[in-house]
Amino acid sequence: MTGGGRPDAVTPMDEARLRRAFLEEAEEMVEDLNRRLVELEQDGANAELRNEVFRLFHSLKSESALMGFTKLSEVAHRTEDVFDLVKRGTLALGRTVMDTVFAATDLINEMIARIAAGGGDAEFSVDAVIEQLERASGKTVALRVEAERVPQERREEVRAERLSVISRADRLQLEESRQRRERLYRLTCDIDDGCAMKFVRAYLITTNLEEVASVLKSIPPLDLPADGSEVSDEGYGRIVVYLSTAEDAEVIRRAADVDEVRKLELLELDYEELLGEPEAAERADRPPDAAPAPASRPARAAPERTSIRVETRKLDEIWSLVGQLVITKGRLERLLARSPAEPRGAQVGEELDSVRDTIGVVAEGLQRAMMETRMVPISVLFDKLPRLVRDLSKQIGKEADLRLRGETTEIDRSLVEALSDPLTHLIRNCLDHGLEPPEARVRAGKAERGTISVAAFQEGGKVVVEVSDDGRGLDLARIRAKAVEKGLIPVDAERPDAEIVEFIFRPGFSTADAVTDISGRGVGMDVVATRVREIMKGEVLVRSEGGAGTRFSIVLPLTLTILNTLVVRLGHRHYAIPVRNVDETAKLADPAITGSPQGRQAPHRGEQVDVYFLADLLGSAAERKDVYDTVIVTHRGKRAYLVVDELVEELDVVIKPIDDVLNPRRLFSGVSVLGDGAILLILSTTFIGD
Amino acid sequence: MATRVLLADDLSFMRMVQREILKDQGYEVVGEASNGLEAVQLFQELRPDLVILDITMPLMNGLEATKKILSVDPSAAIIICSALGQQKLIVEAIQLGIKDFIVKPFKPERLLGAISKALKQP
Repeated sequence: MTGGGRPDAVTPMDEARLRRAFLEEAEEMVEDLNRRLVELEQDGANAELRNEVFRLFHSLKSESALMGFTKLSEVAHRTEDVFDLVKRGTLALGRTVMDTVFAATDLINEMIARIAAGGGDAEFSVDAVIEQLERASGKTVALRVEAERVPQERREEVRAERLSVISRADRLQLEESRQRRERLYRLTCDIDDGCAMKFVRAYLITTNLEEVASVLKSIPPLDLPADGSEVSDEGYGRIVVYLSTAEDAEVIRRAADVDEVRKLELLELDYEELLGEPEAAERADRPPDAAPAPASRPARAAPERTSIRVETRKLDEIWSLVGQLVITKGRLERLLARSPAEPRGAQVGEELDSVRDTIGVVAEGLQRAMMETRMVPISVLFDKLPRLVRDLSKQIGKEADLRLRGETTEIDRSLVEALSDPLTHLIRNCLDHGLEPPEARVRAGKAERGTISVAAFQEGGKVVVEVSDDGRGLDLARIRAKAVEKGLIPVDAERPDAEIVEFIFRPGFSTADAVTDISGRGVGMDVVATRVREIMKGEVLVRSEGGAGTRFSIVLPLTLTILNTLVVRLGHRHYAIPVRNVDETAKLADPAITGSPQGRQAPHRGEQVDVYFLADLLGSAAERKDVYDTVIVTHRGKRAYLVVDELVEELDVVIKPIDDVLNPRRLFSGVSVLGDGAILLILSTTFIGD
Repeated sequence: MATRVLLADDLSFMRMVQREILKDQGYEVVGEASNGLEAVQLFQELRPDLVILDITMPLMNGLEATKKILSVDPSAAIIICSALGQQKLIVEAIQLGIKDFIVKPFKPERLLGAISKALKQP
């Protein structure tokens, strides 16, 4: 394990958990830092921002030091020093200083990323950045040497324990307790020799204690073995518990005073005895006006929200169960619909119906509640944007303001990762192509600095993320010309603007002189479209507002895995069509269909639309009838009749992806396994064509 | 006023023994259940000051009964009775929130000690 030597007392399980906790906090802090630094750049005199940034670097320094990441800590430390000078007013926050601080933050971010990937900070070279920081701060800052305090002799036992047993993990917790101004106690419990289950007795004691205190450590440990085996009573005749609490000693004593406890001893300790760090030096660090900020929990301006951290794995498990419940509910409904009411008897029938309804309500409620747990505010993405815009505008050479709206809009967790790249690309596109150079803007009567707006909002079961700029809009003529060049439209064709702009989502439609890509990955607008449409099952639209700018909209469904579908029958098999692709259902008379087998059409609300027979699509013979049951499907705004044998029902399904091998003509977008084991193929409506 | 206790054990002999010990000390046995389901029902009806539950009972075991009783009244004082070798179950019960446990076969002092300490706990 890289990242500094650690005493063997920390078990591998603790290690991993500790690392995760550290990473979560560190990542949050760096994101916070990036945001604040950008704000500080605009508002350099803001004392609150300065203090905030100082605190963040300070916390990063402490936490990474505790974890043994010395290089990371050093960079944070030096940056903290720089900000110390800024706070005192002896160093101005000029451009060089800011750039240096940003560079340091980036380095810290890289190191954290490496740590998150399982590595450490040892292989990073930090000298360059440190030199930069020193130069920026105008002098060489001497490294502070932590003084080793000699522990008090009268606590010989404590000292021995500290050196051999109090590990890094414990130190972290002790620090936290100290910051919270809690009292530190060492409780010794002697259990009756005649007690038949000493381990359980000890467990009971610590469980009681946990209601009134934070139990930091117990010796011997009271962890339950992961394999569920029993713990032998040996060694549990006496337990020593370190705990911190805001309560009185009497409360602690009472909690520990259970049956079969022979003797209790409670000692109050000073933190130095266990941590060996001078508390006085810490106090001198903190700015005199600020309230003591816990080292590992920086004050956030975010709205008060009680929350707990839950492993996503646990939530995913529950989510999968909810999915199965939804399926089983569907199965119950089908069963009840099929079985005749008579043999059941009226009363049982009523009860069954009531049970079915209740399960329906509960399943839907669970689904909704689970969906909400999957929802995260889009601010997790938005927070990165100010820094992104700042860096991009430097790169591209155009200054722009970023306006964010709707940060609290919530989106499904799984979409956050997928949305990041498309969002970045759209913004880059606006900066690069959308916004004109300052002189052109002024000539056009606009403000010199362009504005890029990113807004998120929920609308009718969807989440919409809009990226717009107030630049020159899309060059429709150029796009049209390119489309003609590629043979996509005939040269003299009359096409509405709305259709022309859609072409930019095709591969090879970059109308810039130089192809720009995100970090050299060669991503174009077509990849954005593919990502949004195929992977996120959403839609991307664009509107050019002439010389006033361009607006991109990414429309995403609120949840991915549970899909609302319309089930249809063809022959003996059932197929599902996503309800979002269903406009309506209709009967279609045979005489209304005109055209050859290759291009059938029929009227629908005043216009001719294509007619498809599901049987044809699937390669079987279509049956001729006088009147057909059809579903009017839509795809990208285009409608078509889809002739089926029968409309069956509306059904919620949990989609699973379908292997390409089983799907050569891409007729299906997924498959669902029903509760009774039957397979339901989910039709993709792309056959309607573009 | 005497402390009201509810006993639950599938063995009537066991209940008799407990009843005698408790009455001797001046506790009032207000009900007896022979399975977990009954224990929960009686708890809801009688709302005793203390419940003594055996872990292994038919229809619903002591652990399940503990869960149900605590969901009805999170402050209920429950003591679990168990045989040796049921460490996991007792630990689970402790996690649920029982006040104490006693191991069979137990001496009267054990039962009384557990009860008196359990009643003192907040």
